Amino acid sequence: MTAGRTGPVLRYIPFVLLLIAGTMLGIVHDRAERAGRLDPISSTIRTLFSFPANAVNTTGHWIGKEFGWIPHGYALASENRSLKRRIANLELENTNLRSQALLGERLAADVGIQDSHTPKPVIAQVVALRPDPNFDTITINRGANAGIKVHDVVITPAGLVGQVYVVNNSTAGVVLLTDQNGMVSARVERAKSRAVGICKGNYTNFITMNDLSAEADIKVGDRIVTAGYGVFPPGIPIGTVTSVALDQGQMNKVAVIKPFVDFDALDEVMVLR
Amino acid sequence: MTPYARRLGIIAIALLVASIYQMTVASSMLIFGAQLDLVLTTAIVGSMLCDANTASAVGFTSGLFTAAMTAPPISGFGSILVSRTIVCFLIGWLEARIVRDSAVLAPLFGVLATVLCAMLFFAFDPQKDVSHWTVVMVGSAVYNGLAALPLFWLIRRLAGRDDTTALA
Repeated sequence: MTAGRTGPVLRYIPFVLLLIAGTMLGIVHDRAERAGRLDPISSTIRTLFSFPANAVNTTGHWIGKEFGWIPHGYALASENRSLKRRIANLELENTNLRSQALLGERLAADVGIQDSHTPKPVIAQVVALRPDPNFDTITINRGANAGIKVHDVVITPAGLVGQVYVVNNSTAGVVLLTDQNGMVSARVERAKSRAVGICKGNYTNFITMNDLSAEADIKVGDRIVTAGYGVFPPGIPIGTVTSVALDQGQMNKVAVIKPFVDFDALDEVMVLR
Repeated sequence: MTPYARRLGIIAIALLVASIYQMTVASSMLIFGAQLDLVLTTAIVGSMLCDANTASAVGFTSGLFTAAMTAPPISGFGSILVSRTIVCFLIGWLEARIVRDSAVLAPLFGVLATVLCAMLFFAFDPQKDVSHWTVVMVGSAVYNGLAALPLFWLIRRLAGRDDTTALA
C-alpha cells in the first residue's frame, strides 16, 4: 500500500475512507445499542472472539482448579476448618428457611394464593472481563438464544453484579454495578431502618449510596440489598456500609458500600430472566 | 507471499492474539491498578512497521476489535475507532518520513500514542468522570510504553525489517 507521486489528498484516501467508515459504524452501533442490540459487525466479531476466549478461560480455570492449591500449602487446612464451620451454620440456616418456606406455602394454600412461576436463572461464563479499563463491562457466553434480554439482572451467589445492556444471539454485555452507568435502588437490610437510596458505581471497588435523607437510619456495618424498585428484584445483596457522611450541602447522607461481589474475579454469573 | 504481505499477516495475527489476551487476562494483570491495553500497543508497534495508510487500517482494526469487545454503554464506539485510526496513521506517517525502524522509539510511541489516543477519545466523547479517565490514561500510557519495546522486538523479529516505508 505504498503511495506514488499523487497529491496529498488522493494519497491518503484510504485513511479518509477509514475515518468515514469509523464514524458511520459508530452511528450504526449506537443506534442498535439504544435498542439493546449489537450492530452486525460487532456481533460477528464478539461471537468469533467468544470461542477462543471461552477456551482460554476454561483452561485457566482447569489449571487453577487442579494446581491452584500448590502455592497456598498449609493455609488450606485452616481455610478448610473455617469453611466446615460455615457450612454447618449455613445448613442450620437452610433448615430454618425450609421450614419457614413450608409454613408460607401452607398459609398461601389456606388463603388461596397460587405460586407464581419463577423461571430458572441462566448460568453463564464470563468471556471478557473489563477489556477496556474505561468501562466496567463484561461479556458473557449466553445471549438471546438462552432467553436473555436487555435489562435482565445479573448476580452471583455473593450478590448483585449488574444488568444486561446489550444482547446478540450467543453473547450478552453486562454493565457492572461499579460502572458509572450502573445504578440500583437499595435499602438497608435491618428491620428498624427505612433508609432507601441509590447505589451508583464510580469505577472503584467501592460504590456510593446517594439520595439518603439526613435523618436516614444507616450505619457502618449495615447490609445493603436491592429495594425492588425498577427491574431489580428486592432483597439481592449488594454490600456492606463502610462509612457514612453528610454530603457537601449537608442535606443528604452519602454511604460508601463495599460490594459483596469481587468484580475482579468474576468467572461465572447467573442471569435472572 | 511478499515480505510486506507477510508482515501484515503477522500484525493481523498479533492483533487477534492481543484481543484474546485483552478479553481474558488483561484485567487480572494490573500493575498499581493500571491495565495494559495490548490491542492498542500491538497496533502502535504494528504501525511502526507500515506506511501511513496501512497503519491507519491497523489502527482501525484494533479499534474495531476493542470496541466490539467492550461495546461501550451509551456511546464511544465510533470514538474508539476514529481515535485509533488517526493515531496509527500519524505513527505510520512519522515512521515513513522522520524515523525508521527504531526500537528506541517504541516505548516513546507507546506512551505518547496512548495519551493522544485517550485525548482524542475524550474530545470525541467527553467522559463524566474526568479523574477516572485521567488515571486510566496515565496508567495505560506507562504500561503500554513498557510493553511496547519487547513487543516491537518480537513483531519485528517475526515480520522482518521494514524496507518499504521509505517509498510511502
